[in-house]
Amino acid sequence: MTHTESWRGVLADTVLSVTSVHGVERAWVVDALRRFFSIHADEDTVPEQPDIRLLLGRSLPPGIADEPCEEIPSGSALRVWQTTRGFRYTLGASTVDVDDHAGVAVAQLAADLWTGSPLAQRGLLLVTLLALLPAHRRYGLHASAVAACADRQGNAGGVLLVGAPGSGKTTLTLALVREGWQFVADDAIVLRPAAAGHIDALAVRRSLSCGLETARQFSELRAASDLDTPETDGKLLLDLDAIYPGRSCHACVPRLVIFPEIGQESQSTLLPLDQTHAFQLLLGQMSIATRNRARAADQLRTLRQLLAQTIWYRIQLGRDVHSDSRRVADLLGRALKMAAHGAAITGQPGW
Amino acid sequence: MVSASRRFLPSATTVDERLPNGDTVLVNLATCRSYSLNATGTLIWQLLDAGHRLADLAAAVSRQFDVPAATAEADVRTLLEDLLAEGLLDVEPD
Repeated sequence: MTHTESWRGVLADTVLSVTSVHGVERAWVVDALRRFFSIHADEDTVPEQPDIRLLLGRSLPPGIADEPCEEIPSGSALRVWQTTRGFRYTLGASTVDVDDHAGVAVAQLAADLWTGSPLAQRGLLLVTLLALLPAHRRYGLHASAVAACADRQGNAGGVLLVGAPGSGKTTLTLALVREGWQFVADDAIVLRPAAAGHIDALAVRRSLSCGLETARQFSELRAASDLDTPETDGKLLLDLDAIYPGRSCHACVPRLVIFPEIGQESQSTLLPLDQTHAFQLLLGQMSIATRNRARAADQLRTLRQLLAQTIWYRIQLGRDVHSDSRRVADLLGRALKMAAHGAAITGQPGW
Repeated sequence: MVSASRRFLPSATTVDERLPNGDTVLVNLATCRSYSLNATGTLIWQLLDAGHRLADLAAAVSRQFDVPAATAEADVRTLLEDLLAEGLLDVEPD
């Protein structure tokens, strides 16, 4: 006799269901999802019909487990395989197989995952969710997001911080949140074409992962966490809502896209960027659906629309990102105001 | 060598997007590489997509950008060779 249990939550405005079969531990997965991700799970308001589904079992069904697949080099312990229907992810003895057209993942999660590093748990769940969401036109982008406080007219502008690991996204995020900006997401967002024609940026991760050196630059993080015992790989998982209460939100409408890079100067500087270069930089931080031409075309349209509603700059981060975060927040605040008025800065800004 | 009598079409693995600034970005889904076309390249790409041959492309470039016909044809040939080499174009079968 088969015993199943289900749970539903809303992630990126999409209903996710988690179903366990034969008593496989559902509580651990649900707890991890709620701990790591921006999930709303009020049973009274979550719609019954799921958009994407995660099925937990003791093993993968034979038709899926036997399917030929080709490994995509990932350079990490989290291995990625291309299958005929989507992707397969393996981490230790755990495997998740995603049908990215149907929006269904089948997972066999081993006990060593539950007792292992929280960052590894989050990583496996994150890639699974980001592979499921495109079935509902939610496209993952390797970016952080913050939102400025609303002005007197009630306009709050979203800012995407886009770049490769080590570019300064997390440092800039922390500097802006310290200055009162809203934290939306760390290192992974979902772009959604909205019915009104614009692009929304929706939070995926709830926690922020941060290197020890970065954390030591922010006294409030030193006070809130034990920097001598990082979670793993020298990284901390921080709950920004606990450190900066009331400064988190789940979504924003981006008006400014910033491509940070670590500079050597004392002051941070905004530098202009042409639109085509900005598009290609965004493209480099999105996983394009290489086997689904229609979806890939929709992803490109989404990025074009994102550029059409934003202005964009490189920022060379100076030492002031740590020592004078107010100045950096003012710099981006002024750029955001210009974006709200549809004006782009040309040439070297004199700020 | 690009033949004047053949037609070239975007390959099945190519997706394109025209940007608000008039440039076009191409992505080859088979290689995951992306490319950008300026205004001239965008005009050529649009005409290729509409099924035009080399002579039509060269004439349009000559007219639109006020360059000699021979120069336009040489430039179009170069771009077509590059697009073919990158797998972004296919030669239409007989």
